[in-house]
Amino acid sequence: MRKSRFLAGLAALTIGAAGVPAGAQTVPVTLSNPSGTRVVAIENMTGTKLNSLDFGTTRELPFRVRVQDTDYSRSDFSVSATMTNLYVHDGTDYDYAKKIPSAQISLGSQANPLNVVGLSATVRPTVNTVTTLADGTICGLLGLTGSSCTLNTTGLAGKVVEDLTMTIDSLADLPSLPIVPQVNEQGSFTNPSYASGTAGELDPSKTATPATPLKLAEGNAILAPVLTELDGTLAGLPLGDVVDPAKVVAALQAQYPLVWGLLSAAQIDTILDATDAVPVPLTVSGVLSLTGTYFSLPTLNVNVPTTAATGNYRGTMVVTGLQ
Amino acid sequence: MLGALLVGAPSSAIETETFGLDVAARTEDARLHIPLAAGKTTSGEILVWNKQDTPLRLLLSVSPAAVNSAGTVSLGGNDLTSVEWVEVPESVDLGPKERRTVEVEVRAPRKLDARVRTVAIVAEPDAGGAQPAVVQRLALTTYLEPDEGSLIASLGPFPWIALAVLLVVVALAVRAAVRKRSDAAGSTKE
Repeated sequence: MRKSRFLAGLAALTIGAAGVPAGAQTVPVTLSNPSGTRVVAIENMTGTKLNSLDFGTTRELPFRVRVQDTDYSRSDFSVSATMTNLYVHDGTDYDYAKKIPSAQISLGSQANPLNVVGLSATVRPTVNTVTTLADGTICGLLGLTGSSCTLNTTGLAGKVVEDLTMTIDSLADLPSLPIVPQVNEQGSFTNPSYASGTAGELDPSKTATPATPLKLAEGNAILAPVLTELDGTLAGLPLGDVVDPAKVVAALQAQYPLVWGLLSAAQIDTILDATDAVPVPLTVSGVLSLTGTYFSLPTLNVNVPTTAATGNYRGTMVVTGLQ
Repeated sequence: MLGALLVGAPSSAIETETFGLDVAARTEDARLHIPLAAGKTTSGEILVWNKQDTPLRLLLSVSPAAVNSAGTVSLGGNDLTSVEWVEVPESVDLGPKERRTVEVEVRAPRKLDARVRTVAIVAEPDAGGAQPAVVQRLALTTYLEPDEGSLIASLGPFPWIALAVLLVVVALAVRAAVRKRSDAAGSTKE
């Protein structure tokens, strides 16, 4: 049974092969399918999960939102938050009559509101090359006059370059990243959340008015990015890292078809040694995946009204990562 | 001649420390697109998974979402009508490290305009009655895209049945009137 299936399959393959006309071109198709992830985490400033909103006696609570991409496609991220009112809590129950309205709670930003670390990209550039030859013999064989000559190729399909790191020196570099992080929204949570599972769920005075969302973190994969940081790193790589030298040779051979055969292997090596890659500025389609961690560093602020009852207050912040 | 074609398929999984959310079948923009046909039920699929070694119940819901002119999506907005068209299971129980595909159903009204609607499918862990200080949810942008060829639903055989009933009623009325008139004429003769 198994053997007959194998033979049937073999027959089908043979028929398929026979069906290809002689001289047909074959195009191998490679599928780059990164199985990346984007993890959204809400943390305190020491990097542990934010489990409580403990202001203590202060009125400002710094925290951070971490969006961590691993081999992820270049796409927007958005993390927003809503807040419940803060209610007096005696350790067991809420006293819904004693509350600080969510409108008294606001988002601010820390002194340095953004950070980006560990950025790298997998890209597929388009490459031009420039060969500056100080060899009159080779120039002469190619039909070019003088003791030196210049050869150019354009539009070569580059190699897939993995883990191309980007260095971020200052906030001024951020707009030239593949994903441009944005400072968190600032303002107050005008309308409270009464969502299920939150401190406000059972508030007898809850309304149907939608809660006010504020952006905690945002990254924009803009349509026509200026990828300066990525281009700069790519430009520093040697020729063989960004394009297959055989493609360079083939492109030059196509320019000098009649005389290329006069060159020895050593002379072709000389040409390649004198060739520099000039990657074309990357476009969106050239960025295959990204790795990196984006931090947004907001503060949660509370304005305690003078009329507020004494006691310990509790509330819930609902954070949503949107894809 | 040999040529190589490299195709980059976007990866779209978004995760918290405990669970993840994604489209079940990859799309170009890593978001869910569901076609709309007036009066019909269409569907799409999302994928949820548990990253923990312990079981997890995820609560699912649908929320309004708005797209600005730059294409950036944010939660909120007042389009509650579209939200009402979309149905997801209230909850999904996941075993340790389990992944599960969940169907998203959209019941479109009998009449639509050509506007593409945006909602968000929201997932959050069931806190089991506890009210944590921070609830972390994930949301997947979902586009409801009307098929321009089916913005008005067919009423099926209903109009023909109604017309037939109307004709029968009219015929009976006419017949009754004729009979009444002939009866009246007969009684006058007598």
